[in-house]
Amino acid sequence: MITEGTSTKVSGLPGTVEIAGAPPYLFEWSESAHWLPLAITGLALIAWIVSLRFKRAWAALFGFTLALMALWTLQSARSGLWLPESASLIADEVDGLFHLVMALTSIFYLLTQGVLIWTLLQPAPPGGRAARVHGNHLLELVWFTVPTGLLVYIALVQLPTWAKMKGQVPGAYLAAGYQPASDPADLLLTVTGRQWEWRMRYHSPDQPMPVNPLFWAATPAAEDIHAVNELHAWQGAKVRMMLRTTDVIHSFFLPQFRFKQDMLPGKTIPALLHTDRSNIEADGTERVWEIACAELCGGNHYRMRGKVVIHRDKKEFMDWLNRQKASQSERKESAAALPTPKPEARENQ
Amino acid sequence: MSHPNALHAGHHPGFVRTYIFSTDHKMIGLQYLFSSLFFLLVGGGLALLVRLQVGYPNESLGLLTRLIPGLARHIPESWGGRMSPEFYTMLFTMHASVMIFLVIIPWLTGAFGNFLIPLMIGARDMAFPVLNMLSYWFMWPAFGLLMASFFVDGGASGVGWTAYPTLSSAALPDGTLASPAARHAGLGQTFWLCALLFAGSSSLMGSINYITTVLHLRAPGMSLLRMPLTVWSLFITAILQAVALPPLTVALIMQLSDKVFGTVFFLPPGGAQFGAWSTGAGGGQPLLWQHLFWFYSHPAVYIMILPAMGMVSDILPVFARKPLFGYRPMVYSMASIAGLGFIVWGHHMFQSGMDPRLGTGFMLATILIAVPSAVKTFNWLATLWGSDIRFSAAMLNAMGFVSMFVIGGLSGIFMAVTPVDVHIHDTYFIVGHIHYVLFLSSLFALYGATHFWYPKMFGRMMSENVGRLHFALTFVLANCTFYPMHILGIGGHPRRYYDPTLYEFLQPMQSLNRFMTISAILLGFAQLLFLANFFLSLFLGKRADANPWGANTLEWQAPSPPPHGNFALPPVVVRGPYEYGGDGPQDHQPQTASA
Ligand code: HEM
Ligand SMILES: [Cu+2]
Ligand SMILES: [Cu+2]
Repeated sequence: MITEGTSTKVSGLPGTVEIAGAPPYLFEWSESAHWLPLAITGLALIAWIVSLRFKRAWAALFGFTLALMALWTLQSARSGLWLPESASLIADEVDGLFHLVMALTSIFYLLTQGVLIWTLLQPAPPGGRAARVHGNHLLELVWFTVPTGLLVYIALVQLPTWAKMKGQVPGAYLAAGYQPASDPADLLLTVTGRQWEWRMRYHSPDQPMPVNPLFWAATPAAEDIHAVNELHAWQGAKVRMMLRTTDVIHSFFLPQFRFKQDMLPGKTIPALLHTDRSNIEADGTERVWEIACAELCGGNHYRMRGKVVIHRDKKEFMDWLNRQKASQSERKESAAALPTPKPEARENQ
Repeated sequence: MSHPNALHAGHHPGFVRTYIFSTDHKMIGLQYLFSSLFFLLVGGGLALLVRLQVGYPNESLGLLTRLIPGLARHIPESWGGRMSPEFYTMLFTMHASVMIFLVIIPWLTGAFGNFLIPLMIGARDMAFPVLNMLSYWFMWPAFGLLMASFFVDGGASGVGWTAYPTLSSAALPDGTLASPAARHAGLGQTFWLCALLFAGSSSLMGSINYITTVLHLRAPGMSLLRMPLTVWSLFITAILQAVALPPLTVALIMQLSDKVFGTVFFLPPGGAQFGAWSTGAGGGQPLLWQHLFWFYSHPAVYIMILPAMGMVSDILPVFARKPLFGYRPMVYSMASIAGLGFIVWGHHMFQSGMDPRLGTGFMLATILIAVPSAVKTFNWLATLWGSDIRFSAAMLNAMGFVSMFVIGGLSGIFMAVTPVDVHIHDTYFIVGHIHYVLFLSSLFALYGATHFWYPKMFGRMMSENVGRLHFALTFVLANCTFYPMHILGIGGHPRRYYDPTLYEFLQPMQSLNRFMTISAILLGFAQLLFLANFFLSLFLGKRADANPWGANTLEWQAPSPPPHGNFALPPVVVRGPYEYGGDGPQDHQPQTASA
């Protein structure tokens, strides 16, 4: 309707994912995308026409729009268009905070919008003139202190989660407030972002864990195992990732882990990932967990797609790692070394 | 529209001095207004192209390619009639740059700041009329550079309005104008940096002028605490600009120098490796840019909302026929928003690699800044409570502002919760937030203010019915366009993606993306109603007398439109601006003793 074109790659997309037991939706986004905006425009037109005669129609317009938003929110939450599947305990904690803020802000939303709509409906003041009231100290005090109290609560309640996510423990810091070096990890790897892929270098778990991961991150060794655009670990592993970039800022985004960290040129940023759940089903099939880049890094920013595989146990992971190692030693060593020039991406310089 | 100098006998400066290089604050205000409306069209067009791409990532642009001049050169053969990913990045970069630096800021501070400050404080003109004229004319090189950059080698800047190094700042290799970091970060980015330097200088000149004018040229009796909130807000905004712009200017010059002269302010000691091209050693720090940029750009978001808050605070009482509730809390909360606004910039950098302990500090300040925002909202609602509302187009837009600002403020709290921000940072949630505060708040305030002060500017009224129709359509369609962005963001949909359908977890969201695109197109068309109303009313609007709304502030004591010099006699102010309602003989008492 808007553009003419031939490609139909996106047609036939899966609709919203239905959650078992959820009540049926009022409408399906996929089917209503085209007519719904027009229908809503029509309703706005009707509200305007009615308002020419009845001024209170404006309350209906406000009410309708605000109700629509509340409805969309509820519908999305129910239909799975919401927080992605959670892959770790810390992700559950983040979701808990999210829903706490959602609940508190919803109260304020309903309160303020309710009052606003009421003022559109309220009867004219007696005598047609409103009282000349300039303010009220008590009210000002109340609506200063109540939000302040709630906000301070929100500020405090999030502190432990943030500290856990960034691995802060008072004491020795590995790098300016990030992971303390003493925090044990089961798996160590570097993730190096570059235009436009993620390069993973795994420390071989047969070797003893290096004392200084920062030093290890800066010095590739022959026994390291390489992978591109694939993050592997096993369920229950604590994974220390050393995040780096060779060119511009990228941001390593793992939606299921509620994990996101920019990679900063010139820095190696340590991060810890707790892998509490696996995405391998009992029958061996894999649910897709994707890696995305969240910081604009050039024209192909949208293409820095990768995948996460959390194996069911360490053995399954080691199988993968050893396969990877075998195929790696087949290739010439130089091909695996970092960084390799990528001529095709430069063609138009 | 009558000749602005008609009442000033014996002083005829001629066409060029009156309409083009004018030093009259009202004419400069109108120049800003007309330019902003034009830029709004340009920025809106860019936004629709962005939305088309995200909603229909795999379809050819077809007819559009031929309709829009210059578009064809950005549709390479290899993309089969689709725009290239690079062009897409240019579109959203330029959309944001135009909207922020050439629409919202100039419309609020340039157009209304210029037009209203002297009139509302009872002055004859600004303190520095020539500086004022210069500040307007500095905007045009900015616009020219931004638009010209689409046609230079590599195209316009495509590194986002935030222009993070090293993508943006990589030095151009000797003798070339193409950046090794990205095709669209070469000459175009240099143009962008220069454009921002012009826009920034323009704002800075304006702000010095406003501060001086408010401090020195107030009419007798106009104490600071009798100033209308519009003046307060513009005054505070001017202070914000004066303090925040110098660091931005420095940052822009540093990036320009990195790019053109090969300095290394933003290049880390180890340098950077772009494919086969190595920059050599650096010695700087890419994060420095983010600190400098957000030290300006966070206050800048308040520059883009405070004047809107001020104008809404002046419109609500007039149509509620009731005093503004809590004048002093309103002033104090604006001042504290401005003050706190300087210590929250790090909330844009929670995931940047900044020390996470620093993030906690910025989080606390950010959470606190929601308090004055809440206080303002409650005072607006209390102003409306028990009042006798008149549903003018100006009033509806002002009420739309209050309603939508609540949503923008509440979504801010999600992002201020650092663990939650980890997930929603750089997703569509942020895009939703900024559009609730900038489109659905600032722009509604601007529409309302334009309806409200139009009679004073042109001596005619805009059509109320068309204005209300425009409001109704804009209100619902803008919500359809921007509300679902929050839902996408919660699902993890990153912003600035050329083709989200590559990702399995984003595919279920694509129908929502289309819904937003179609709503956006309808929304774009609805804005033509406003433009038509604005331009046709210049000639066809009902004639307005001096005070068509029965308002108290000083500008309504001057003729519509006010002559050169504004007031026949200097007005003497005897009371505050919000004496509405009550049981007196009149339902309002102007700020001067005699009407
Ligand atoms: C209650 C008040 C507010 C709070 C708590 C708040 C909080 C935040 C936070 C934490 C971010 C960073 C999010 C991220 O990138 O992860 C942000 C972004 C932003 N905010 Fe607000 N905000 C508030 C009000 C406003 C207002 C009034 C405006 C403008 C008029 C505004 C404009 C913006 C813009 C433009 C961005 C995004 C810039 C970008 O990344 O492109 N905010 N806000
Ligand atoms: Cu990227
Ligand atoms: Cu900010």
